[in-house]
Amino acid sequence: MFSVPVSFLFDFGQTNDQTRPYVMHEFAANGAKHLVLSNTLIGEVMKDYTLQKTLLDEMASEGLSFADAHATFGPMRDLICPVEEARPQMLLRQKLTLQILADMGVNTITLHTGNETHYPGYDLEVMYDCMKRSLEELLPMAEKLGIVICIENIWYQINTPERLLGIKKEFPTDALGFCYDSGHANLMDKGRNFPDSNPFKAWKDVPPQFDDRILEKMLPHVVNCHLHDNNGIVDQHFNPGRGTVDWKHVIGLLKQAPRLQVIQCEVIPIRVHDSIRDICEKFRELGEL
Amino acid sequence: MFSVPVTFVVDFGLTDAKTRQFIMHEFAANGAENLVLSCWLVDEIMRDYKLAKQLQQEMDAEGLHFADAHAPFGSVLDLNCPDQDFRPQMLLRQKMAIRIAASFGIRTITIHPGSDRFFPEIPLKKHWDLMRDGLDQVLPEAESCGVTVCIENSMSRAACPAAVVMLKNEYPTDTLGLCYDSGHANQLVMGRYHPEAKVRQFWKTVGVDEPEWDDHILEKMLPQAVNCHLHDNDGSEDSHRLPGDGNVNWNEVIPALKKAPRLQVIQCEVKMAANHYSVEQLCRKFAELGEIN
Repeated sequence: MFSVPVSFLFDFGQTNDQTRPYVMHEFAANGAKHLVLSNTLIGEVMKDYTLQKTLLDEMASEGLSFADAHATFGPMRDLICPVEEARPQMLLRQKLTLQILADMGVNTITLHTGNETHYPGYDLEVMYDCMKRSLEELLPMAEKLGIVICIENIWYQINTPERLLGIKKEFPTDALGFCYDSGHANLMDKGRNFPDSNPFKAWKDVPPQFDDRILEKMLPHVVNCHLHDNNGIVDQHFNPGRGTVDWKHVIGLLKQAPRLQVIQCEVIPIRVHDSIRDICEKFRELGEL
Repeated sequence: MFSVPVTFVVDFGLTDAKTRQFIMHEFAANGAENLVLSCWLVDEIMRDYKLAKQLQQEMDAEGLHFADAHAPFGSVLDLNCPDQDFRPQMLLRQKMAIRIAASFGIRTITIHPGSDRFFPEIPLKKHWDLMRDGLDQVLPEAESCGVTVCIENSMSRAACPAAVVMLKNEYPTDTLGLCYDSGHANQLVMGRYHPEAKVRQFWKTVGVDEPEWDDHILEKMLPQAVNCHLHDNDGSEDSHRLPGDGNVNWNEVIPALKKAPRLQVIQCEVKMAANHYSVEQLCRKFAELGEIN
């Protein structure tokens, strides 16, 4: 059993006002206690602030709560965004996200650093500086609201464990932590065996910095984690066990993470055709490892 | 003819992407050159950042431009939001709306200062203080991206024409202007002849039996009018009808607006879907209005 809450992601972008409560009910019926306030749901709340209360009411009626969140992400919305004219809106969007979280009682959110390939022509170090500038602006607000911002390992040059640790060193505040992503870490380990894997494509002419000790490096600062599986080639977001992640190793270490607040299941049920029942059952099993 | 762009608001909140593109095409085919980045579109972009680029492409394809914008509004979304828990979110939302407008090259956005009828228990002066606090927070954002915030006269006591003029006078910066709303103004003129006028209910809600009827609204607002929302009604309610389908005196309004020293845009705020008007009717009517001197 996990000593911290387990939260489940769902692709709520595929639901509507009728099917969303049905999905919540299904999670509750399978023993789930927490769901993720996903980027999709946050986007819907941004569009319609009244949904904030509706969602909380729907969750409460199923005995569920939002244990963590994921910020909107993608080009021009991530921390490294080097396009000066886009940065003010990006920062406002992330600030509004933090405020929505605070208003909904959620106290940890994962933000993407961004992928350098989104900004061709920009120097990697310029983007790294932009990440710092973004955090300089967002962390004081997060501190004030009592929210921990978690930055996540992906499979690009800008979000290796070393890069994240470099950022953490500059911002010792507890308002900054890490989100360990098991699927992304698997790509940056097993991907070395597959010339077509995501890391080779992402790093282009630079040999990827494959690493079999990502979790060990991130562990002291891990506040959240995204657990899902893949084949080491592409970011499939499968249920644990359907890929090549060494779960015994991952769970054993995560249970020792000193700052861990939540275990997030980042399996994407509709996309990968994993049932809510199988997902909930698998995370119960993981808790017993 | 108007010397400033004429812009049309569409009930885009009621349409999907295909219908939206069809309506844009219809406006272009009827000679329109500008549409309003409406509160519905701003909401959609808040939800989905990528929609901004898509909208710009759709507008470009029809030779259309967004000439002005309207921020999300209503109850706690307005500048006088008295809910201290929600107020930080409201302010961020208004700043976002300004930034989104700026990203389209839009230079003017209308923001509702707020109505006291939603919160009648709060004293009038407190409403104005909240509006001032809201302006203190959003104007620097607007100034930094070159957008003029226009506060709009409503039918409510807290944002009646005299109130928005008072607020404007406290902020001499060009970043703040006024949006003259002909339909709202008309209810504070012709509403006196309707015993059941909505405007009477608004004022009664806040404990005032008789609204402050005002025959000189446009004259008061004219020096600082940067935008205007033109639509008609009979004074009984805010029906957003086509000019001529109510009793607004357009022969007075249009010549006066043509002399407004700061006016940047003429906005048609007729509600098409609700009132079953065609795009052709809207465009023809506003071409006719432009000929009134």
